[in-house]
Amino acid sequence: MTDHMDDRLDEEVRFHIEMQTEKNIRAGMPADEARRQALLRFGGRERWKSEARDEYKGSLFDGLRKDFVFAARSLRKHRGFSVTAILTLALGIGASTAIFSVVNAVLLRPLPYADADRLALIWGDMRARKVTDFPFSPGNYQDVRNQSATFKDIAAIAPFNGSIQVGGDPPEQTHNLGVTPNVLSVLGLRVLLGRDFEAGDATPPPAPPQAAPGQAAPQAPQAPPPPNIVILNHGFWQRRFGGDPRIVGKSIDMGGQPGIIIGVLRPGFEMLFPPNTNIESNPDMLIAMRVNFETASRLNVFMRLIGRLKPGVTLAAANQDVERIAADLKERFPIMKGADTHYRVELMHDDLVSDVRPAIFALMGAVSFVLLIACANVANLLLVRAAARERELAIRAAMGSSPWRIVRQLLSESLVLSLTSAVLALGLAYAGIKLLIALAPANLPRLDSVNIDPRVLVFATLAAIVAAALFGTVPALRAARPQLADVLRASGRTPGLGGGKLLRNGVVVAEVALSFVLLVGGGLMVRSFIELSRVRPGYDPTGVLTFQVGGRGGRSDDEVSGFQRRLGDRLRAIPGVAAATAVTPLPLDGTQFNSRWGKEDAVTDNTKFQQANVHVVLPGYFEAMGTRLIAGRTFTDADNRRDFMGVVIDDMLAAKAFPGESAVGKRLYARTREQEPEWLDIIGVVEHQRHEGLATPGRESIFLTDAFFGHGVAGTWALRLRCQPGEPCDPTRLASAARNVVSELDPKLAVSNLQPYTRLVDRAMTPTRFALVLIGVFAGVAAMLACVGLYGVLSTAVRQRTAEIGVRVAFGATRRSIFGLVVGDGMKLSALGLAVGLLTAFWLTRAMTTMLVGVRPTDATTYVTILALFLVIAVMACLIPARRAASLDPTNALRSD
Amino acid sequence: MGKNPAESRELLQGTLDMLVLKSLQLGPMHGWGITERIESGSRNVLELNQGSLYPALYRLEKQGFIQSAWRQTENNRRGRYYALTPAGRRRLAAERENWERLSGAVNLVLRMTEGA
Repeated sequence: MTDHMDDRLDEEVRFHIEMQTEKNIRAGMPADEARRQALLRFGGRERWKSEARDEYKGSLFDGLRKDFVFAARSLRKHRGFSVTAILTLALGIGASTAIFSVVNAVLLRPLPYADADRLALIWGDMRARKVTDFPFSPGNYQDVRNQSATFKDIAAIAPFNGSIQVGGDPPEQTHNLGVTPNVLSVLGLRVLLGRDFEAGDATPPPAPPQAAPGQAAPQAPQAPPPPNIVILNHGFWQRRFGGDPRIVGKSIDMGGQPGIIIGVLRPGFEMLFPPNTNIESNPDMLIAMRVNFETASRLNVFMRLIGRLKPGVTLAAANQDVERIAADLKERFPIMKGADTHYRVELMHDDLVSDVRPAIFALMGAVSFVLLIACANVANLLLVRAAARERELAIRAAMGSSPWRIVRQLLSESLVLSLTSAVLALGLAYAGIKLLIALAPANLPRLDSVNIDPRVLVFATLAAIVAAALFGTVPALRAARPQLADVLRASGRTPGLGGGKLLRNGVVVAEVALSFVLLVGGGLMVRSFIELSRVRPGYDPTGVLTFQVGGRGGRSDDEVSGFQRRLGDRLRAIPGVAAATAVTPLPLDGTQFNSRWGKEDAVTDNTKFQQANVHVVLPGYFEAMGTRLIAGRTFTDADNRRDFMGVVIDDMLAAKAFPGESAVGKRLYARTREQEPEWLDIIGVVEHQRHEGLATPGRESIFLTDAFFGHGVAGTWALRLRCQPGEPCDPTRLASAARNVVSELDPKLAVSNLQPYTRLVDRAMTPTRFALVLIGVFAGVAAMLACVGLYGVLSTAVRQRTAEIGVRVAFGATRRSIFGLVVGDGMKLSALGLAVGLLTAFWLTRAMTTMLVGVRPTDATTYVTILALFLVIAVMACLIPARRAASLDPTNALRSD
Repeated sequence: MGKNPAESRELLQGTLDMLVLKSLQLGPMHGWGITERIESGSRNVLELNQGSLYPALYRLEKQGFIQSAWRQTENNRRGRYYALTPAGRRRLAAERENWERLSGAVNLVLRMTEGA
């Protein structure tokens, strides 16, 4: 169509000039003169043609389309340049798009609930014991729900593990979510099949009070418990019941207790809670908790609260509201006053991402730097290319193309470049997202929803357009205002390369600065990762296999204890097993189990209590885990009984409770198995085990025997494989033997979470590794691009100074001094860039503080190392141009201009 | 091109369109023929920058006032012939009326000055 238009115009103009020439000849002019006069009468042919074209095309859009077609043609002609530019940009845009897709899924996309921005989480903080994000007791939940004026409604949830048995299949462990009946209405969700919960579904059984879910609790043997009222999650319904449409109303065997299925959730249900709560986001089923609010202990805390704020209520007002209720509760319950309990409301989405937000922002910043550097490189390419095209453009300007047309033409080329890159970048981003998901830490909420959606597409397009503006505008404006006379007069083979030198140098300085900042970021992450790997966590995770045994191996305490002893013996009898033990919770497994402890003064003054982690263990636990005994002794089999009041504490607790003295033989006043604290005798002190995470020591710990709580509480088994030093030590080869042992002892028991312990350690390191890998890759790419940029600028400079170098050599300059001259130029640029980068890094790396482990953002070692590393990179970039300059033959060099 | 082409083009533009339409009222014609018609019609008072005709032709065609097709000329060449469309006829009438009113008004003013 366009070509057709051009042909027609060409032919018309040719025809016109021929006719005029003939007329002139008829008037008596010689042929040459006749044609010259005809051309003169016509005026600037190019200009009229292009104006006619514009008139015909009319709208700006058509004109742009033409510009694009022309740009694409011109880019195809300079393939080397185009491929380099497109790949560079695709890398920048692709990486940015991949990271943005994470920002989009985690931070931007609303949570999968109705009016999700009105949902808020409510937490308890015990300020006197430095405990935050504490759950609620049923009574406190009910008071908050009934007395709050700012919430439309508040629901409570409590996750626990259960098991079901369908037909003749072996029992299967399930992730259950205990809920109050209003949970779906608070979240604004509806069921797919059946009905929502009703108040009646949560009617408590008449007799004994509810115990904490998930923990083995003595069950009332006399009255059969009422059935669990269950709503299945969509995925579980599909997987376990084949999507049976008539499932509603059926009853199921839930580990000896009946359950009645009343509904199925719609697909996509997620229970999103901050990662430190260890709430499975995709539970198998919801179960209406049968809690007797009248009799439940105020000291038994297990409920997590989600509320829906009334319209127009601010977060501050809601906080004031719950604090008022907390103040009232503190007056009624002295223990809460002693703990200085406060209630706090957080908007659900903000709270979910608060841990990862800094890391995501840091990554987005890092990847933006990569994109900026890519733009800088392409801008430099364009500047060099524009210099080479200056004659062409000057001639076009002289032929009547307006400056605006030339700018438009060059900008179109930039846009074609960057939009082509964007298409390629989307492919890269797609692959990148797969990689990100594989690498990402578990605490990144909604990771599975990271994908390329319309918003990500818009981002990639905008990134491409902004990039085109960044790298295209300055070269285009420069090219459109050529000093016509100068350019046309210059006869050298590299006209115009002198122009824009300052600009090109500026771009390189910026590149060096940006990539230096990224390298420092990468360096800090490397240091953090090394620090993290060096941490002695208080146990030796290598060669340990862990798994959980769901359900109780008997009814009475004696039966359970007998089962545990038999299981331990059978496990230890597996060939290759050095030790077998059980614990709850296993360090690093994400479960929180903590309690208050004090000394004599706490008996009368409840503000003296502090909080510590509690671990319930079988004798032999410390030996199996490789935890060092520091003083006293560990548990023996004889200690594993209900009336043994001995306790092992870790060195952190010992130092806190009894600074400067031996803790062994002293007493602790701690709340453990009963509602009220008991006196416990310290029999031993062991090294501290890192439980909440590897990066920080975390809270102090108290260890008690399994029997002290009632047999069977310690539910996670750990098998240590006997390993020869220097040989691979893979405990997973014990897996099937362990499974067999359990099912031989009791086929009704389900084995779950069977994995090497190193996987938990690995998981604890993922956030750091994730940031390390990403920032490291970005820094590497940035350094490479900066290196290429530096090389490009120096090469151009050498080409442009060929004559000058020739003169220098002719006047006796040595090759060495020429070499030094070029390297010196490069180093000057690098030094300037590094100075800027140093200041920027100093200022920006503070944003990384929460991601660092054992290293400060201003770590001198990192800065010095990266500085040295960068100087090496810079010298490498200078070498080739410098050698070329040094090897110039003076006679040729002088002739070149 | 004059010293200030933008200005002179602006002065010409509307008028040139009208002159083109008028010259095509006499019958279909190619570009060069149109310049000839205008120049001879004005007894060579109006001397066009001939190239400027083409943007005007393309504009008018785009606006639907004229249409064009390849045709043989008298001496067996291929030329692009332009012809008025019905819309172009109406446009010419309107422009002409407008022009006459305007020039009449200008004349009035000029005469008034003379008579004073």
